[in-house]
Amino acid sequence: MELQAVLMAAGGGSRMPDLTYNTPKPMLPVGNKPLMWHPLNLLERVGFEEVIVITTKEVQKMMSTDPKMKDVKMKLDVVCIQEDGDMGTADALRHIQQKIKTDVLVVSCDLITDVALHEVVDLFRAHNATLAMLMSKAHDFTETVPGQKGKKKTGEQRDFVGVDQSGKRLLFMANEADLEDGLSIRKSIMRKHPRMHIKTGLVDAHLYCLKKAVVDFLADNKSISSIRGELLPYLVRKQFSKTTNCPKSKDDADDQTQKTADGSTNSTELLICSRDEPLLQLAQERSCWNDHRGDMSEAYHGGKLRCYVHIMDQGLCYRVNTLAAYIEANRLASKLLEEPAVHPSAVISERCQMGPDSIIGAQCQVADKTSIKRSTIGNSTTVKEKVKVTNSIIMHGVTIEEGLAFTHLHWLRTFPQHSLGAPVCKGGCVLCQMLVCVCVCECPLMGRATGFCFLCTRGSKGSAELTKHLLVCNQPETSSKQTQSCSTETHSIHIFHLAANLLAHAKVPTVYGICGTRGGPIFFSFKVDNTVLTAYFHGCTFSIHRESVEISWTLE
Amino acid sequence: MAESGVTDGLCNTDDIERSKTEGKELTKEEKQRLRKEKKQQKKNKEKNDEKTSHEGEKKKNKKKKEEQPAGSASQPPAQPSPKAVPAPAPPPPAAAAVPVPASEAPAPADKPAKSKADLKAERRARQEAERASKGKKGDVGQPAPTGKLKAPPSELQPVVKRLPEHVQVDNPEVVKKLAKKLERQQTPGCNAAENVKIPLRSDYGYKVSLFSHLHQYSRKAPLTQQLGIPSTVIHPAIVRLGLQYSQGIVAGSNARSVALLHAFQQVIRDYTTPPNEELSRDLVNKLKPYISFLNQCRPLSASMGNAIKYIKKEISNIPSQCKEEEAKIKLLNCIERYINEKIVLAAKAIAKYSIEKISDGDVILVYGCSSLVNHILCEAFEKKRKFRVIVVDSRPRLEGREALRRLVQKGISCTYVLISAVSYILPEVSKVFLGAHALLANGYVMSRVGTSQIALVAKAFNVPVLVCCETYKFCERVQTDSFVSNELDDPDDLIVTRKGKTQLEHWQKVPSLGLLNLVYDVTPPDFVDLVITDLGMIPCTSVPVVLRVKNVDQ
Repeated sequence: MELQAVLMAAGGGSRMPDLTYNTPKPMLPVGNKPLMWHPLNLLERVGFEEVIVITTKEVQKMMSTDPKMKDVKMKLDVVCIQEDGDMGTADALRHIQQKIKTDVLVVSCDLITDVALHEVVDLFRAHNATLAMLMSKAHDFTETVPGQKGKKKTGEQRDFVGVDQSGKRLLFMANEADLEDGLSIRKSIMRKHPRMHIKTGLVDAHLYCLKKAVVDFLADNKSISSIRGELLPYLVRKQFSKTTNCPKSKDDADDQTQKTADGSTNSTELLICSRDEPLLQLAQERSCWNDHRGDMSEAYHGGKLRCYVHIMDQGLCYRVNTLAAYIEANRLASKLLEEPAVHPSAVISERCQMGPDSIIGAQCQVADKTSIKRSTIGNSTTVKEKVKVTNSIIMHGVTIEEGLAFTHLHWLRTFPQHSLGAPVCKGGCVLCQMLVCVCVCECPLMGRATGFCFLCTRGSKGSAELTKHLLVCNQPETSSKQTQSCSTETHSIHIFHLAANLLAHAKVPTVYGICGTRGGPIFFSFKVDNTVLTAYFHGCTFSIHRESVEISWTLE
Repeated sequence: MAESGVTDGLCNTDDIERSKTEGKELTKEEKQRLRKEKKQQKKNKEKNDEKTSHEGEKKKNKKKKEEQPAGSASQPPAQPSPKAVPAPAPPPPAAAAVPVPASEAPAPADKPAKSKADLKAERRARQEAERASKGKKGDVGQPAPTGKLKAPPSELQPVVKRLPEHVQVDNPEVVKKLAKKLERQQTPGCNAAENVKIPLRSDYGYKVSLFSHLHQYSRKAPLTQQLGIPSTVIHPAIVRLGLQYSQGIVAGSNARSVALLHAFQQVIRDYTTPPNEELSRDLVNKLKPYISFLNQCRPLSASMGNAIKYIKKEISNIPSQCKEEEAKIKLLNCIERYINEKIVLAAKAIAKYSIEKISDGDVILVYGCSSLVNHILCEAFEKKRKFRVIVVDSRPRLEGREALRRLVQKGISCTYVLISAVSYILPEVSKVFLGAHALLANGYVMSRVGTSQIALVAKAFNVPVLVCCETYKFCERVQTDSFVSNELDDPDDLIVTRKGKTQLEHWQKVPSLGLLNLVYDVTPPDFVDLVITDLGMIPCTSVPVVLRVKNVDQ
């Protein structure tokens, strides 16, 4: 056995709470498959037969019932960790140290990529590296996403990645957040690698090949809790620290007893050193190869600890950890999957316009005169006549009634029928019962967009209805008169009206919502306190009387 | 090709009996080979049967065959199709082609005179003839004729040898055969399901004429692309080594041999004999796919060929009653000893001899980066000899820079020139020290391309040329030109980017343009004044003597 694969699937998905509040991130569907299926499939394709999956109890339960997970032929060794245990990735790796017999390949469950994995592993093999990782050029998401518009710039902190001239050796790594003023690079790096390329705009794919010694090192060094945050910078830094380059440290007995950071540091080095056998060194001495030129030192500058990075410049590589990435991944999933876009058991009318980048799940029924573009449609969904679905993710078991148009609906899902509440409007069409539709509005207040508002209910048995009526009426009815002057407040009132309606009829404790406005998205939430609803919005508090559904607000 | 006297056995992985040993060992090996042959024959028959017989009858047939004594050959091949019969080509002598007296080097002049087409036609004719004769032979018990051929193997008498596949890339049949062979190689279990499949690495780009019979690989398409990532088939140490070979991280024949032996040590350490198998037989079988994997990463060097031969011999020498642990320790020690004796101590001995040849005030010219020459110069410097070194380098590898770095680091005063300036620099040179990739039986020196040019110019300037070479790099092959057996490196290495411009970037699109990145050339003995080996200083022409002595010793 050369490499053991470890899949980290215990993350909560804290950066896309809208999607993960009742489906754990690993089970979110991307291209009608659970998110974690994608990295597993990647591993299976390259020939892994066994994977250690670190996850939570909840995910494990769902995994055992999900039909798609049965496609995975590999032996999955599921290790559960506590959900709220605040365990970092390094902690998780430490947790399974007993199972690690060889070098490891750590993959995050939210990685969707078509990388030729051998490129990363070959770097690891050929250079006898301590760490090899995968990075990719950052993607600009074509789709704007609610909740991101204003925040985009502040959202992610940039990473600075320093590589040598070959672009493979990882020399330097820093996050914008850790920098006080300016980038400072140690002299020892500059001495050894006078030409370093510092790159930004790279995304860490969270795929790491690590030497077994590193896992052992983690076991000794309990202060490190995250691979990306702490272990990686440590290893990259260690390449150039003096202790690594000098021959083995002497008193290992002393070091082992000491549990100080220093002591355990030395013990890793010992382990890493011990792998370099004298014969290998002899071969290296005789070899007329050098990784650099321009100075007098031998290959690798005599260092034993080496970190490498493979930077993808072509192909897909997404980390599905934000809403934008999730939407993008769904749109591209059709390219990644080798399976036919339309499931054989789906019934599709001949008079349906379907774009090539759409996926239609099993047992779907799509009626005449429909148009489906750039969308994913889940299993056993019914799409009725004259429906237009564009840029949307429709979940399993949804029924879309006649004549509806979703142009920028990203997320539509349903829950079991029994928890369905009473319909709000008479004759209203039931799309789904619990509904999240994150929308982008081209111009929400002009009354042109069709479905630009989204409502989302939370709660264990929450229910809400979004009807055709609502979709139409969420354009301010007054919009024809006040086209330009429609203010945020008026529009919002309208949404509140809807929300109150929902609350009144569907009896859910809380409603959260975002309304898209030109000034960026606004989040608001409603709380029910007996008969009075209180909404917090835009620095204002709104009170809504439950019975009369009359809205009054006060500015504070 | 027959005329040029190519007899190359080194890279031929499946015949261990290349070393003409006598007596017991030979008979033992002989037996082993016979056994192998039988197996092959049987398999071959199976194939034929499957072709003809109905699917349903397959089982029956198999049973029938099992009842029959293996290799009795009473069951005639149903279809004596010419393709199916020679396919297995197991014993080298049977498939033999070129009986060439090893010590007889034909005139090098008549080689270039032959056009490629002629050669091709000739080869084809010969193969046809072989096939015909073999077709007849194949039906009757095969072992008998091979035994006859094998009978007088002592000394360097006419030895029948087969052209290795890797110099017949232009012959599609041979390539197909190779692919089949790779697929056929089996794990020790001999279980069909456990077949070790080594993918065939595909050739890259257009090859310059005269070299179309050699492999040309792209560094960007490593063999690991086609392998599973946790490599279960091939030992991880071998995969790593293969990558290091193909990317040039381990380069130079000494480094490659040491690394190979080191990898084999790891393989042996992790090895356990499967039940009902003998270590001596099973381990050799296990190494076979590894070797063909490495051979596809980069063609094996002569030194590696010798090392492999040695290991295989050591493995097959292990008595069957020997305990596994014991045998493994024994083998590990053998490898350790081999490295120590043949490489480390040999280098020391050579340094000792050659220091005598370095006198104060010498100006020594070296070419490329030979680990041995570097070692010698460093030793001489430590012995307080006062000399100056001129390092000659050539594109595309620019290995001379590494040599320069190592020498300058020691404090030796050096000059660095490119090979184009060699005639300018030679008047001030007093000695030329060259390393070698291999020393061939006809006294030719195989070395990094450019070496023969240096030797030629040195001869013209009357500067003595000394070649340093360990005896384990001596090779029974005979070669008088650099065409027949050579290595092509990645042609993309010749592309340079200067000031952001890459001139030859799209060379593949120009139909009339071919890039040739040749790795080795051969230097005729006329240009070499002396060979310094661990046995002492000898002229080039004494190589056969050394080889013979070595054979007797073993």
